[in-house]
Amino acid sequence: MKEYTDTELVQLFLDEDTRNYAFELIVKKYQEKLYWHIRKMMISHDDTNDVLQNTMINAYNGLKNFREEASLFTWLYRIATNEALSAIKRKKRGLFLNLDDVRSQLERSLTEDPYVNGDDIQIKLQKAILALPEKQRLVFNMKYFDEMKYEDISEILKTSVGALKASFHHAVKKIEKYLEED
Amino acid sequence: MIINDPEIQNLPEGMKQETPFSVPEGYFENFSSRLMERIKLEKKPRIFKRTQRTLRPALAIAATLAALILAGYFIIRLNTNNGGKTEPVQEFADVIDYYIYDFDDETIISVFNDETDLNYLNNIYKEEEIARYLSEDNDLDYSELQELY
Repeated sequence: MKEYTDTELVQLFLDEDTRNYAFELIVKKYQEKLYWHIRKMMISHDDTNDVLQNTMINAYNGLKNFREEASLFTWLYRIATNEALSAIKRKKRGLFLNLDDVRSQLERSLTEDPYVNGDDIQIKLQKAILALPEKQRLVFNMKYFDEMKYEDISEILKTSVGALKASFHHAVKKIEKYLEED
Repeated sequence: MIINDPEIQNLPEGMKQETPFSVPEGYFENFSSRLMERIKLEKKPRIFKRTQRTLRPALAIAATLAALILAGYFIIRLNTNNGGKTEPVQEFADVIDYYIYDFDDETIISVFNDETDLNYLNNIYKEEEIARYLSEDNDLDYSELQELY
């Protein structure tokens, strides 16, 4: 199968005759990266699946107006991040939970979700990450697990590199403290 | 591990960059076709969880009732309180403050400025600048500030 560039895929999408074909190729290209990005925020597979679907549907509806100022991947990553944060907010609002309750619920998913099966060290690190505020969690995950550059994270989260570095620094300190105390 | 990053090096040894998560068999192979089916079925689809769907009408009714009770209470208070003029005004102000309006930063700063005559508040700072100033100069956590903001 021919490998299309992102620009070619967007061009194919803009043509109504090839729209769905192009979008399926976009989904296949980015679904895994986006899934793992969302999964680290949502923890549970089912919630991640919901958020990933919403992300892709929003992308489908918005791609007609996509301006290539950002890369397609950055744009999709931003939608996925916003969708994940909104889903967590909806969890809080819909079930009248406070921050600690949401954290407990996410922690419960670490032990109850059938698709969580790492070793003790991995689970412990996830619990430490869950103790962070949401934006710090995002920054830590993107830097530590995805090894993204601050400049790319900055473009996705619309936050300055300096602020991201400060966030990451605080996140590492808190994780260290959590692991020492636990 | 990101060997060159000194921050990461501080994390305890043996800490892995792997997550404990997995997916159902064939999940990624079938995701795009399931999604495309959904897109074909729904022109502008919205996905809500069952709990939210169930709660939404109840929440809407509860919010409407609360607003009606609140409005009724203040109408009665206004009609029965002939003595002082300041108390209902204050109560209305409280209600506006707490339940109705979200003032933006500039409004709050300008009101505060008028009240206190502090010139330095004439500058209009962006949210990010304020949070960064607090974070850098006071050793506060920037992202927590942003979250609270």
